[in-house]
Amino acid sequence: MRRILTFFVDSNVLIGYYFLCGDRWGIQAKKLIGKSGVKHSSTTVWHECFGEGSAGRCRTIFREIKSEFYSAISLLTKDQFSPLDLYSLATEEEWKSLEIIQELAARYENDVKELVRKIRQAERKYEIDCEDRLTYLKKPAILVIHNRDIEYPATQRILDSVIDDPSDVTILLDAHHIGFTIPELDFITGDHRHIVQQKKVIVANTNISNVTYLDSI
Amino acid sequence: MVNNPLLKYSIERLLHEANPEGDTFFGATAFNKMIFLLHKQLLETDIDIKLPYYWYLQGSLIEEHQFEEDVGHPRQYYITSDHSSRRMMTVPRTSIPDDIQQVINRHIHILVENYKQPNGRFVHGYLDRLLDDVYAKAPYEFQRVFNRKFIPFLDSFRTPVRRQVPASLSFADEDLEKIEEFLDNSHKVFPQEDMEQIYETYLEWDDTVRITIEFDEKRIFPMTENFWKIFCKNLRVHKNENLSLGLIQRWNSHFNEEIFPKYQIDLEKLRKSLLKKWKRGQKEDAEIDALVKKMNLISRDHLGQSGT
Repeated sequence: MRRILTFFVDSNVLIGYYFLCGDRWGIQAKKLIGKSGVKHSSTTVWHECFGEGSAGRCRTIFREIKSEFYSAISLLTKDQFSPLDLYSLATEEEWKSLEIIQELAARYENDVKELVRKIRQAERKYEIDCEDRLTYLKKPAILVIHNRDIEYPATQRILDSVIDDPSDVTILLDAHHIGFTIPELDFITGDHRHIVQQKKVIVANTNISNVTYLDSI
Repeated sequence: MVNNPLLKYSIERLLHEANPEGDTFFGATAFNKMIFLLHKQLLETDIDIKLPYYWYLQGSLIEEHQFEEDVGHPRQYYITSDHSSRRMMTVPRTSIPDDIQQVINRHIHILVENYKQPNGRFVHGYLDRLLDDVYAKAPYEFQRVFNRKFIPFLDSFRTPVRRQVPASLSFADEDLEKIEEFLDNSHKVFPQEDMEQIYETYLEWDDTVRITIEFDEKRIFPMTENFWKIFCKNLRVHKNENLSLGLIQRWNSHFNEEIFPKYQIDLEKLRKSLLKKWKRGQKEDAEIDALVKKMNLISRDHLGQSGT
């Protein structure tokens, strides 16, 4: 009989879902989050992605992209930049959204009003889509976030010996901790090089029952 | 104790000239604005009466604690709560040199006469003119566009007596165009360099108002009022004269630690609920969908995470 595993999701799964963009990573993350049954993760993972309050890597980059779009609107409206001026400035300042600005500035080279309208629409949709996905992740029936208040020095020593990144070890220890109360835990990650390749060591020395590469779920 | 006899003399002389009988037509607004205009005019003659004031919701405003410390009386001593000024049939003797007194008297006379009819009474609606004259000296064009044009335009939709927003209010297309025009004009003159701290929130407010007028139009009234309050609470920190550093620092900390963060949270909540309505009202748009996918991809790639 096939074992029924419970999923523990790593940060790259949440990131792939939050910034869903239709590629393999995003599709797999969405597929996993959409699977029936509750998924589990830890405060370390959650804080890394969404922080406390408005911090966290996802929220930070989200705000930066939003800020660039607002700046574009401001430059086109307040400073009466031409689309070409906007593109030049975005290039000079190495905006993260440069590729999009370039595409839009070329398409609406002679229609600033329409360019502003498109920037507004794109920013709003980006914002509300991300917000909706975050709201979904916050549902306790979808994802339960666990806190760990116990150190596992012996397990940590073993994991440290095979995994370079201490933050990866911290998250594996979080899952190990959850594994005491939730059996058959399947650790889902997009990090093949650091984590999936050490599957044998992880499964042999922790309460994690399986390690699965996100691409193969 | 009088610490600033020049200011005390100017105030009392102004009240004597404008409203010696202490009638009810010269209240706090008129007093605040006229003494400010006098202060500015006298500065041009190198007389500094050191009026303690700041820019706020309706133009210049006297700072009451400093005022009392300077002239030895609270502001309420001169302007009572029934909107009349203190009866000032004569002006108390003062040690200020005669030549300075003469200059002050002349400027007060010209200033007050400017708002009076030939029969000696104030012109009907003189307060509005007074506010325009004060706003002509405002540090930012944004204040004029927002407070003297945009807010009065919105107020024109309120009921005449109780100043309420009618339950049945619905903006016509030309009203909506006008609102967008006001928003564009305000944006063009926003003092971005001096108010960098609130600029991004202003842009968020601006975009949220544009959503509001499409999906929840009456909400524009509280949104505009609330933004103006936030702007002015920041404005008073930057644009004031003759106030103590301690007071300005207190305003600044209060703004940074309490007022502004709370406003940002409230705006974010409101924006979220309005964006849901906006999303429901959008038709399928392949161009926007493709742009958003790219935005997500860029966001994710900038996190430098390894993926599948």
